[in-house]
Amino acid sequence: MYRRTIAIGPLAVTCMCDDRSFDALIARDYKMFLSPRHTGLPVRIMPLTSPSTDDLAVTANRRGITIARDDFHSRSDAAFTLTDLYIHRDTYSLNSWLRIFLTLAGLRRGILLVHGAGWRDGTGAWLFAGRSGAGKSTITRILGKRHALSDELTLLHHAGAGTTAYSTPFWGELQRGGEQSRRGALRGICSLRHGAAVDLTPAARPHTLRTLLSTILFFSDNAGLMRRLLATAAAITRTTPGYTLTFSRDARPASITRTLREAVA
Amino acid sequence: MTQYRRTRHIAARTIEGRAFIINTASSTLHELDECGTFLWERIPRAGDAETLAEHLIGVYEVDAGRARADTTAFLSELEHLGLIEPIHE
Repeated sequence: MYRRTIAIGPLAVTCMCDDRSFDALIARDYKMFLSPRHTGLPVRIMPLTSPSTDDLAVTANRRGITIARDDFHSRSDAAFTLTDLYIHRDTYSLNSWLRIFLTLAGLRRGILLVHGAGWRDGTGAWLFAGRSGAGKSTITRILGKRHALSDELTLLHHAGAGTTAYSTPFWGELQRGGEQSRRGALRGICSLRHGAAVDLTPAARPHTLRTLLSTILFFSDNAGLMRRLLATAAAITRTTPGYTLTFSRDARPASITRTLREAVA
Repeated sequence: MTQYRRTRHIAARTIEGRAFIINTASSTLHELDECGTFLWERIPRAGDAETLAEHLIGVYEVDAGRARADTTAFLSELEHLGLIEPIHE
């Protein structure tokens, strides 16, 4: 039995499988997110022999959670003490399943996976939230991959009085530029706007909540889970200010970072 | 007078005077303005158009006929969106 633990922020998944090549795939794809401590949520991985369902189907109830698509099928008990995953042995399938699993397993711990570029420096982390085309990869390219958490999906963990942003192995256009496990205290949530001059305008909390809700990755229609998601998003916006960041494709990195730093000074 | 209640498949929260409502059955997010939020928050205690309109008149400068018409239309819209449902005794 091979074991690999993928740790993304405070959430760890311990993958167990008999297939050496699958183990090698995990080791390669999640190299910078592997933990030597195998204390994550246990997932037994087995090959999927027959197609599951064509469309993604997520079912969450008191008996447990199932995630099914044509290339994977998993079943977890309600507390995620054990998950059985039947899946095709390929990068795309595992990456897709892991994203969905994290959103469900993380919610009870105040964890959200958000469509947003994350960036951090010595003063903390920033989330640039937005769907495709909003400018996530562009702002990441301008600010540099060196301090990026992701250009596509950033993990937020709300606990106590604040929220921490974490890097993820889920990247968009920039294809895993950072590949480092990083984190930072979240200083601001920005919706992005293209304009000639760099500008950071404070946003009202409802605007920030709307931005966050429209970019959270979540797949279940379970009302209880959705209430928890809404409560977590509301808590994040209570402790983290929101802004609209205007920038152009040609903006200089220093003008953006200076503007961000001035906001938290 | 039809009594309404919030449906079970919603998640709702009011932030700075604006109600955010997620219909989990249709995966849609709805945001209400100040007046809509005022009515939304009173539906659990006064879920009919007449009573809600009276609340509205007490706070906003609006005549009774307009308040009833707007409240009835508002409830109809919420029902259409699957956010509330009539109570059948």
